Order: sequence, then structure tokens, then C-alpha cells
Amino acid sequence: MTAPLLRIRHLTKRFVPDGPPVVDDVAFEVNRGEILVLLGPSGCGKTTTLRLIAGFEHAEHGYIVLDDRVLTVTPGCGGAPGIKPVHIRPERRGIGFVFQDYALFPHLSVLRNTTYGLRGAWWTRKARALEALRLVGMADLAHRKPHTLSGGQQQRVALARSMAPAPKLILLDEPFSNLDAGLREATRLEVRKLLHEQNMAAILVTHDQEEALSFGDRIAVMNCGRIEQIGSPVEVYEKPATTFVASFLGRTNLMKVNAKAGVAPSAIGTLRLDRAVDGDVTVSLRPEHLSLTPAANGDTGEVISRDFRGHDLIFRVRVGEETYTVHTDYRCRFEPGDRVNVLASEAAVVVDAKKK
Amino acid sequence: MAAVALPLGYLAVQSLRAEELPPVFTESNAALLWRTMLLASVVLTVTTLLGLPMAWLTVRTNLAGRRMLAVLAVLPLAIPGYVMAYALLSLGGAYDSVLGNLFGWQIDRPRGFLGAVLALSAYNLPYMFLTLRAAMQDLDPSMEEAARSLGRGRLAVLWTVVMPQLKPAFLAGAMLVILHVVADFGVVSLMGYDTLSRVLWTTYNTSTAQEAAPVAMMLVALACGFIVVEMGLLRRVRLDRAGIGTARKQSLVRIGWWHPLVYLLFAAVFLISVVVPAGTVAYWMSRLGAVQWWPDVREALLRSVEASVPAAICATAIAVPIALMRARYPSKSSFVLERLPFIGYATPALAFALSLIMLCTATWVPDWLYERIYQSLPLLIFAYTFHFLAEAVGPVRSSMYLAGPRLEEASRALGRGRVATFFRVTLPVLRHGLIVSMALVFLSCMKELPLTMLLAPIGFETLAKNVWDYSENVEFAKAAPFALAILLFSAAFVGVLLLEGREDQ
Repeated sequence: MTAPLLRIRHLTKRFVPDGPPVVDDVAFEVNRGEILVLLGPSGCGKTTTLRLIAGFEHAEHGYIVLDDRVLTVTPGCGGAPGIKPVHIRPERRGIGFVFQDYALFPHLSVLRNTTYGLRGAWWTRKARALEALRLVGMADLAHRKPHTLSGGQQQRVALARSMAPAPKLILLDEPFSNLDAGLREATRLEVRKLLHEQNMAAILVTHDQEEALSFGDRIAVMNCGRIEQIGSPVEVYEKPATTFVASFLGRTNLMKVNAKAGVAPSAIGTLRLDRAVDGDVTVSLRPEHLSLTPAANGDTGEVISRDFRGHDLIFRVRVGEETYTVHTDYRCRFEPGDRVNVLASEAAVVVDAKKK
Repeated sequence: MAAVALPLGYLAVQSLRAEELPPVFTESNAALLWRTMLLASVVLTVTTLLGLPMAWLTVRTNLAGRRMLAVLAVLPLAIPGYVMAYALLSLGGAYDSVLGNLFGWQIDRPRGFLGAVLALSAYNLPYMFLTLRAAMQDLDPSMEEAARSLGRGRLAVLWTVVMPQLKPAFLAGAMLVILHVVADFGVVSLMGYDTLSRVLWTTYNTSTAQEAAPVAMMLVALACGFIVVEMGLLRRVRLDRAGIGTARKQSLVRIGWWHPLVYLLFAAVFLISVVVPAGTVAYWMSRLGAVQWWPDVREALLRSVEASVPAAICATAIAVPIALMRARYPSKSSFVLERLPFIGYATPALAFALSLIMLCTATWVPDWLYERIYQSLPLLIFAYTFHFLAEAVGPVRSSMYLAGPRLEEASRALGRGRVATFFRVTLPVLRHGLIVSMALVFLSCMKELPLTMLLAPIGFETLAKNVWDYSENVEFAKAAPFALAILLFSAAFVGVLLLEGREDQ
């Protein structure tokens, strides 16, 4: 395997001296052509991380290396303690950045916006810019001014503008959040395809878990300035490492159980766990890994609410002291008040390992 | 930096001198203070009583033609106080008055307190009207609807919901009106009503700058006092929209049969504040006959432009870094930096000019320097620049906020350095703001009177100075062409303001 494109270690940033760090000892890697999604609630430091990589903010600590070129280094990091701090200016980093509000230059046409980051003779710049605009389907509107474009079109121009200089890495700061729902999904797929075709690596920041799951090759879930888990969408969804990851990425049922050799008793019967642990642990059970059957044996529960959503249903079921969320397909026809049994079809995932 | 050093330095000089002189708090000075505050409060009352209903009528009712009426109500902005005073003075009187000559009516010249109140109210009404109107347009109708749904009647809602929300705008408008009245020189001097400003002028004219210093100090202290009070009152107000959701259109109150009465109100205001001055100037122009006025007016015009153009350029050039600092590096110090121009604006012009004179004539200033700067054009330009700097900061700042730092970051991410980014992105984006800033400062300088009176080089006769001189000598016809030139420039000023307002929406 080749070396990663981007390497980040110990990245730390505070906005208030002595205050809590906004980005706290963050480390991750991005491979060539890979799309990494930074996912987290607002204020978790994901945008700051992106701005640190772009060089808009100065890191307090840590190092950032792009393609063997050191972009940021602070003393005591990634080398001898006496190393001289490095902060390459944003314009020298060769990293594209797509802003949430696009930041198109209002005084320049679409074409001029796109040629802005290119060097060389006008006709070569123009050819390159038109090529980038063609990629996003905006070549026809090259002579329009940004304010005459719709949100989706502005978004495409912003993307073309940062892709035109062919950076190795593009940073996307919630670029889809200003689009309306229908357009958002289509644009997302298109951009993903485009990035992969151009073999450009990208880091996307979002607070939308659905977007993260569908867009990313890998997902890094951030909370309070720290990365809680990094992995492929499937890994992160199916094997959340912490309670935060489990509850932030989709719905989940969290419960405290007393495990013994990989199994644990619970209100809905004995649970199979995903690993052999002993003692008090918290486990996560996804609602779609639960199913309902008409009450038969001892551990029955009562349906307390039913949310019909057309293609599927979400039930809330009370069993003893606990309430479970159960996600079933359209065929499950229970009504509030019905007595049911809750069955787990998959192993529950242990989200706080033994160390606690 | 100069903006900081200047007022502070002058205050220090001022207070040092003041100690060697008769104390500030004499009985006559107390009376002066009282007369100034009386004038300010009466003008404030008049402008509020007129401005509030006028704003409400043009925003919240179905008054036919309310947009047009709003524009008409703003027009008096184009008429400087001293032109207003000139017009009112020449209306009446025993000999050669407008009304006397045209209709044979004999009325007393509206001099003194009453005349000052009339002229200052007419001139200041648009400021109050505009601030209140803007605030009313921003009111969130859902708050009023919420109050209605909670069982309050229309009138109760007006008092409990609408009025409290208008408070910051009212305070801002009141601040402007009071500062204008306190600092006014043109109106009170022509009307012959003694306020701090007028006494400062007569003292300086008949005696020395040192003698006038205590009065100038009081003037500054009074302005500062009002600003402190206003900031204190504003601090306790918080008016953010809590919660999200878009504000909807306001419902309009039907005024039906009140229409004629409302038109009468607007017509009366318009008559006094626009028709009278414009008509008077036109009348005296027609009376000029064969008098050769053009060479003098051209000369004055050139003088005015000679001082105003450099001031407009300097003020805008200084405004850019100030606005840039505030918008890009928000911190306590850049906040203070951004406020500094307002000190120059709020400091009464006469006191500011006097302080500059005192600085120039201070004994420690070497002779060669004194000869260069005292009563020199650069000093006048300097005074204009810092007095009107606040007007230049506003438009630059708002266009900078419109642009936002993302644009510059985008340029940096595309491989352009700081300098290239400034010239290729920041400046072009600011262009509109820069033009508006320059236009505003230029036109303000063209109308400026008190600074010019004290600081202009000998024989440097601007348009404003000519109007004042001729009016003071009761030569109304001779003043007319100069007043007309000022009215034309002022109309352009209002035009710029209105255009800028339109682009903001």
C-alpha cells in the first residue's frame, strides 16, 4: 500500500488561551483519491479542523503533512523538540476549499471565478477553466455573474473553481447544506462520482449522518474536539466504538447490561454480544435489528406508539422498565396497546469496553 | 493613530489652559448650558411628535402614496440648517421680505428661540423619521400577533410590544438630533439665539482662542454626556428574534377617512421644510437681475471643491483599514478602533476647530511649523477628514460585511497571496462602498460651515461661508446663488443616500 496523501497528528487548537481546546489532539490520514467525512454535531471542531488543514487557522500544536510536504509543524511535534515551527500560507498549500456559502467572487463572471486560481497564459487558463466547468455542467453559463445563478449552480461553480487547479486534496465545508433536500441528494451523488473520476482526495465536513454514510469512503466521527471513531461507513454504523457514535449515527437502543462470557440477560431475553466480555457494559442495539412478534411467552411488552412512514414503521415498545425503539418493515401491523415480544436478530454491540 | 492622538491631545491642551482661566462654572455659563439644552429638548420633542406618526403612517398603514410621501419627508436632508435659517429669516421683516414683496404680508422675522426651533426641527426631522421608519420596517409582525393572541388589544400591543422595540432606534435618532442641535452653529448664529456654539464663536471672534476654550470644553462635555447616557440606556435593550422561522409581512392598518388629515400633516411639514427654503432661494434668484454673480459663485465653488475632494479621498482611504480591521480581526481593540471616527463626528465642529487652532498656536509649536499649518488648506482638509470619517466608515464596512472573509480565504486557497488578494478581490468587492463613502464625505464637506468658519485660510470663501456672510448682513438676494449651489449638491447627497438604501434591500 502506498503512503497516505495527508497525515495529521496531535492537531490541537484553542480559540481562548487556557480555554477548552476546540480541536483536541486529532490524528488521521487520508489516502489518495479517498473521501473522508468529518461528522459531528455543530461546535464539535470539525470545521476548525478543516480550516487548520487549509491553513486559515494556526495550529497550536501538531503537524500536517501533505504528500511528504510539511504544511504545519509545531515545536515538539513530529521531530526533534527544538524543531522550527512551520506554517505554510494557505495560498502555498495547493489545497482546494469549497465553502458552505460558496464564496464566489461577486465582481467576476463564472469563467473569471474559475480561472482565478490558475496560472499561465490566458488561453490555457481559459481552456482549463472551461474544462472544469464542463465537468460540473456549467460551461454554458460561463459568462454569467454569480448572483444570477441558483444555489445549486453556484455550488457547482464553487466546486469547479476549486477543482480547476487540480489540487491533490479538496476540502468541502458543508457544501450541500444550502441546497434544498431534493437537489442535495442528487448533487451529492454527482460530486462523489466526479471526485472519484478525477481521483481527487477530499475531506467533507457535515453534521448530517445520512450524508456522511452515503458520501464517505471513510467516516471520522468527532465530538468535543476529539475523533471518537474512524472507519468505513459500515464499520462505524455497525460497530460503533462509543455511546456517542452509536447514538449520533442513526437511532439506537442503548442499555446497561451485566455480561458474562459474551451473553447478557436483559428485559427482552438473553442478548448475544459481539464480543466476549464480562461485567457491567453498555450495549447498542439498532432498531432495525429488533423485530416484533405477537406476545407468546414471559417477557412481553406493550406497544406505546406507532409512527407509520409509508415504506416502514417505527414502534416504541415498553418492556418492564425499559423502552425500545423498533424499526420494522411495512408489513408489521401492530397498534398501540398490543402485547408483543421483542426479538434481537443481531448481536448487541458493546460500546464501552472493559477499561471503564 | 492620528485620529486617536488628536482629540486626546487637544483635550489635554484644553484642560491645561482652562485652569489658568476663569472657572468654567460661572453663572453665565450655566445659563448658556441651560439655553442649549432647552433648545435641544424642544427640537427633540418637535421632531419626535412629528417623526413618530409620520414613520408609522408610511410603514404600517394603507396610506395611499406612502412610498412617495416617505421620499418627500426625507428631502429636507438636502437643506442645511443655515440655508433653512436664511430662508426663514428672509420670509418676513419690515423691509424687502419675500412675503412682503410677493403678497404684501407683514410678518415679524422669525428670529431667536422660535426661529431656531423651526429651522432646526425642519432640518432634523428626516433623521428621526428615517431611523424610526427603518426600525418599524424591521419589526417582526409575529410578535404583535402573539401579543394579540394573548388577549391584548391593538393599542395595548402598540404600547407593550411595538414601542419598547422602537426604543433603540428612537435613542439613536434622538442622539443624532441632540448632537446636531448642540453642535449647530449656522442656525443659532443667524437666528441670534445664544447657545454654547454661538458664544464660542463670538468669544473667539472678539477675543482669543484661549478665552473661548472653557465654552468649547462645555460643548464637548455636553456631547459626551449625551453619548454616555444613550449607551447606558441602550445597554439594557436586547431585541434579537428568539427562535427561527422567517418574519412575515406586516399587516397594514386601514386609515380610511383620516386620509385628508394625514395629507395635510405631510403637506404642512413639506411646505415649511422644503417649499419655503427652495422657494425663497428661487425668489431671490429672480430678484438678482443683472448682478454679475457667476464669477463669485464659480470662485466659491472651486474653493469648496478644492477642500472637499482631498478630504473625501483621505477619509475613504483611512476608512478602509479601519473597516478591514474590524471585519477581519474582531477584537476589543479593533472595536475601539472602529468607534474612534464617531468621536470625531460627535465632537461639536466648533470645539474641534478651536482645539486645532489652539494646538497650532500653542507656544511650543515652532514658528516654521505654525506658519505652514495655521489657517492653511491642509489643516482644513485634515479637520474635514476626521470630522466626517464616520460617514466614510459606514458604507465601506457594510460592503465589507456583505463580502465576508470567505471570499478572501477562497482567494488564498486558490493560490493568491495577501497582497494579490487585497487588490484582486477585496478592493473590487468594496468598490461600490468606496464610491458611496467618497460621495457622502464630499457632499458633507461641500455643505460644511463651522469648521470652515474657524479654519479656512484668509480669503478662502466657500459656498457655505458666502451664504452665511450675506445672510448675516441681511443681503438675502446676494446669498441666493450660493445657497442654490449648495441645494443642488445637497440634493445629490440625498440622492446618493436613497440609492444606497435601495441597494441594501
